[in-house]
Amino acid sequence: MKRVKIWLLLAALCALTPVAAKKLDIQPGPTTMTAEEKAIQADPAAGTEHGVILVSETNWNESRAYNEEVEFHLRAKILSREGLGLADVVIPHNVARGKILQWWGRTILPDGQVLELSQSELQPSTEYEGQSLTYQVLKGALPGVVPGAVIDYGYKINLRSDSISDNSIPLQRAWPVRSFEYSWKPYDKFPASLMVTRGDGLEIGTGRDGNWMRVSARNLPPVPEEDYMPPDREVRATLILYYSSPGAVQKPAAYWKNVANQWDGSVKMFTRKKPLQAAMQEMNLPQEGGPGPKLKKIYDWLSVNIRNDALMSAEEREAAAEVDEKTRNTAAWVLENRTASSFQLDQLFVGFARQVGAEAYLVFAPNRTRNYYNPQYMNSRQFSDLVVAVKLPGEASFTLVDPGSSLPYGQVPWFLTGIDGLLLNRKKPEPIKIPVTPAEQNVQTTRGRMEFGEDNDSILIEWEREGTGQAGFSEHHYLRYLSPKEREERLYRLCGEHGDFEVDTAEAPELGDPNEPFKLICSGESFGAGIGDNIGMYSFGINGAHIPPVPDLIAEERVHPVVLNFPRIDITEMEISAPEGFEPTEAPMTRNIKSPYGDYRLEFARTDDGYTVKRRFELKGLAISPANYGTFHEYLKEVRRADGSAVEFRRTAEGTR
Amino acid sequence: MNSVTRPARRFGGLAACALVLVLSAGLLEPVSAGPSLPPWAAAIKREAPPMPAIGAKEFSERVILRERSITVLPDGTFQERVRSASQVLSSLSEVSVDYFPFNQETDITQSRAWHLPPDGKKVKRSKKRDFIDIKVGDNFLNDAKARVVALPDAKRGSMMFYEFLANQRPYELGTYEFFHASVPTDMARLELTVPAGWTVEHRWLRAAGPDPRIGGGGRHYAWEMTDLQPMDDADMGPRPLEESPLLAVNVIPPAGADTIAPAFGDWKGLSVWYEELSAGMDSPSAEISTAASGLFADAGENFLDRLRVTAHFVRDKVRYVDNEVGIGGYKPRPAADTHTNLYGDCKDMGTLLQAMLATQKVEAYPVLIHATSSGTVAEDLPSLLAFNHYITAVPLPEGIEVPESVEPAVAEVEGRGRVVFVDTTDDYTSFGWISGALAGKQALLIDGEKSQIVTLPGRRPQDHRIERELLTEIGEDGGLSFERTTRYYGEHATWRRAVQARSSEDRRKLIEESIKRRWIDAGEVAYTVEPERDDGAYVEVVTWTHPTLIEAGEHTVLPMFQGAESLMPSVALGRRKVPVVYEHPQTIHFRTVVKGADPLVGLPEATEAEGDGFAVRTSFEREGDEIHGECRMELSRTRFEPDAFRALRKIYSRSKKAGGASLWFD
Repeated sequence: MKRVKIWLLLAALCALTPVAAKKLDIQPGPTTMTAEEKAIQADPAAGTEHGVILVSETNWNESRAYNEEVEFHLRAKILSREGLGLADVVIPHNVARGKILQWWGRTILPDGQVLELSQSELQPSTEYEGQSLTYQVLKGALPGVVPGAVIDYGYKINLRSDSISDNSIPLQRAWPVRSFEYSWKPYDKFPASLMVTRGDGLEIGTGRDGNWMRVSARNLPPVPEEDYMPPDREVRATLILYYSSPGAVQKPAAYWKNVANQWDGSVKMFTRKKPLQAAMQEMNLPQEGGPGPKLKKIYDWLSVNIRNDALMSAEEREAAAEVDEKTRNTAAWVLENRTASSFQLDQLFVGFARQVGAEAYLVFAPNRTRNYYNPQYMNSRQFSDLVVAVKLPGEASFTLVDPGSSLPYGQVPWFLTGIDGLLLNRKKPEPIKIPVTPAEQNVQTTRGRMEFGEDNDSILIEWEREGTGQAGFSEHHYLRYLSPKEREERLYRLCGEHGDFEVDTAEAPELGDPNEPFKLICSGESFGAGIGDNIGMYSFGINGAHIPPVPDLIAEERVHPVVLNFPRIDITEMEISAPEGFEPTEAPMTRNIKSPYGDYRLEFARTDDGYTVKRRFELKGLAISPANYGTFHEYLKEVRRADGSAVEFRRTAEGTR
Repeated sequence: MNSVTRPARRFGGLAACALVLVLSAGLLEPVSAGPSLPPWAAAIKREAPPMPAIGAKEFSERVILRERSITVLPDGTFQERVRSASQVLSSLSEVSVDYFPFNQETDITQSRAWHLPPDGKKVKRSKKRDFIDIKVGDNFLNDAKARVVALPDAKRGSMMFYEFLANQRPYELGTYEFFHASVPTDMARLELTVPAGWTVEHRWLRAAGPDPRIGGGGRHYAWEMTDLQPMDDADMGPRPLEESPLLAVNVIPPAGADTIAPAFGDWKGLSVWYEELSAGMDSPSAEISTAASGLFADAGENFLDRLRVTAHFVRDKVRYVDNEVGIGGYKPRPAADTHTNLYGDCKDMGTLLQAMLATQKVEAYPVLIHATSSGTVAEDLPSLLAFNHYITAVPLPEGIEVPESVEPAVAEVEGRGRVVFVDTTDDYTSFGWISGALAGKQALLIDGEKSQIVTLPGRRPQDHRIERELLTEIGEDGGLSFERTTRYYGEHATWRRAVQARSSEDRRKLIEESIKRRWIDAGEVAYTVEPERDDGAYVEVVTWTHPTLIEAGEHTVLPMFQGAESLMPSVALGRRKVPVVYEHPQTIHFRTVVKGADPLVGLPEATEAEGDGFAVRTSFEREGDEIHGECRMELSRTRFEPDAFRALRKIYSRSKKAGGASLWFD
């Protein structure tokens, strides 16, 4: 009965077709090319350029300690010279602690000739060797392979392995997969699970029979890569084989409840009342307004008074490492020593929030550039961070905050937003949407000027940029993290250094304080202005490093959603002076672009000796579906067109040579 | 080819891997009592320079001594000892790693390490289990390894001492030593002791180095360099390792000495050794003979056509699989095996080509060269270590006319006349052309008594060139249609052919998007590619339309040489302290025809500029209702030291100005 339930559960979870889940009967493929195989031709536009995997079969039996058995079979058609590498066979198991029980390897040429690679021709290659561990693989090159040939190889191997680990196997690749079969018999002392992510609508089946679990896939289409696409795990069907701790519950709801219980317990252990109350005395909390103002004050106090170890600069890390101090994982120690990990800060804030009467929990948050939260995947390793959810009495929903992150109250780092996290409420753990910071709170403002150098040979550009909210958040902390030399390189790059633009100044003056907003000061000289003596009119494009880059999405069609970092507003104001001997003509027309994804305005004004340019670019939304991509693409296209605008200068009578 | 050289002593990937493995093994144990540093280490400790102040560091450690000491035994065995002492500079360091490179001809007899913590009290000595041997390199099969040790619990000020002892059976009686620093190095030293009656020859390559200190009655030699500073690995800069002084040393036994490895007195000697090693490997089988006959017949009567199809047969049919274990790193496999298996490495492919040509009575010779480093050859000090690659030289019959499409690979060789060089391993370089990686390098042509060091051709600007023709038609409605044909030659073709081969779809998208990025309202972009023409060109043709000219203020413009500015790479020079290096000379030649332009539209100003190793010229003329423009940029100089940056900036400026020429419309 239990077996059936698990089988049903797996099938329901993956919305996949159940398959009979026995160990596969893996045998060498036919020694002739089938008519279907013969007919396969390269079709680069369909993702079939170098080869096609015709069959991939694996039996992995790791149920017995020190006695694993792996069977593998690959059959592929080679379509190009680039695909010949598939014939360089590596048996990626440690044969130093194993024994090959069966091997076959052959090339089936287009004319039907069959060339064999015998087991004795496989050569050992020791990858590493130490006193207690030697890792040796076998390698062999299939002979005579040409484009149009089919290769077929496989092996059965016994391994004396003393470790088990989770395994993640992408089922969909950049090329089509005709047939993929995988059977797994896990080590029986640990609970194990198998799941397929993003398999909906594909010919993928899963099943379980006794201790064998199996995945069977057919005709999987290729998944192309695109800029700004969701992480791989969220766009490709992926097989995940994983173990849980002994005794772990094997139903998602109960599993996560258990996890929430453990984490909430750790918060309670960490945050004893007495030290919290003593600290609150120091905070001078407002007595009016209820717990809301108090919470914000506590949040700000933590930012200023407790150093977040994760945000230390290279210099601070170096100095801190000199201090050989024993730390204790208690609120009292943290509050006394004024230094904490991000996790400790989160726990502290939960403790303080509860002290002032708010409901507060830790929230597990995945980094959405790597993966999203999948409740069926019973593994906490899918989360990268913790944040805090607080709810004041009478409020309907939680506010998400990240104490010590340097972000304002109510914001959490952008890479955690826009997707679900897990509210670690011991009574009712549940998914919670981590809200996206609106564009109005993520504003980067750039102000500067441009003028021409001596003899109009170069253009001098200087500007200052400041960001709020998520704008500059990651860059600020990344710059702090870098070593002084790496930091200098990065700053020069941010200021646009390249062959045509020599940067003189590249500074980030507020880097000493993690809580300050990001600020960048740049100046430099662009050579090759291209003003010849005979030029009567001179046109000058306004674009450059002083204008923050717009997503570079040129393709008119889209397979995956576009996922942006965060909504934002860029404001740029530049003053442009005329080259010597020239005067401004007419200010170009103002450009206004309106779209569901934001508004854009580019405004020019003529001044006595040049122009002022004011640009406001808004990027709303976070994820754009392929269906809506056309509108988004059109917006970006119009913005690019406007950003390509130029101002004109006319040679004055005095300037004529 | 196999090589047992000693490059940089620190490498990240290996070190990281070693770290995980070594840490997992459990590590050092404190020594029970008293100082236990060996005397050489204790002496270094006493003289160690003071520690710099706390603060974020560019380098997490410094080397106080790196010493390699070789004692040559009478039978030619190298008894080798490597010692190093380093000091941790960063508080963030947790481990210190060192390694000793070796191969299957090396017996490591001792590996030891000591950690002296900053308090100087308890020395920790390594255990056997702290060392691990790791395969090095990405070859399919090889025997190059490194013995790695990682000392944990490092602290700022920790001193680490390493010592490796080994007996090595060399392939030749000689060695190369890189005096290269990837971290600041106070002293690097090579010591050599030879038996009585032996002689020692040395040459410094790439940069000058000191003469050796000689002692022990002329048996002991020591070369020392102090205060070696790491060099920035800058974009478009020289590779730091290649800028470091390289010491080549040969030891010569007295006549009649029985040694396990040969001593090469001259390049001919090395060539003879190689010819003996590879003797018979180029014997053609009946199948090879049949294949070659067929290829020659298909190619027609032209000698160069026959060479081309045969070279391309080997290049395209044989897949690169390198097996560089032991002497197999030097000795080719039988040509018949390579022809049957259709896989092999550079020497196998070259040997097969020679076998095929031999069946058609065409002479061909092996050429040894270094594919990945420059400056490895000492003209009068022969060494196998100078090379890691094998290509083929084919003498051309007298009087044969060499077309432009083969000239880049042809050089005059003393006693041989004109020779064409062929690299069948390079999947993407056509017969008649030389890749940027090989062009201009010195190599050893192996031909018995006529063996000699030769310099490969391919260093003229026209040997690596881009030719672009752009036809623009302006319609009566102001709409534009474009047809752009670009022919790439030499390294420009090699690189693009490789990109296209990896994914023709990606290449197509890249080109289409580059057009649409510039021409925002471009209609459908049609793209065709001819990856390899008989003349070696990689040809792309792109056509597109655009409803209007590009707006620029009150005017509209039509760039004449669009894309020219991006084809000549440039780099910021303001802060730069290392030279700018172009891999090869090059020519960029644009020809543009504009049809249907208003007869009143002005022509851009023609320009002409020349400098040291650079020339640019643009010209424009009207022919009927057509405007013709031509832009030619030639870069013959490939290295610009910092004191030449002013000239280089001028080149950038002139190129930009020339490439930016446009027609202006009201």
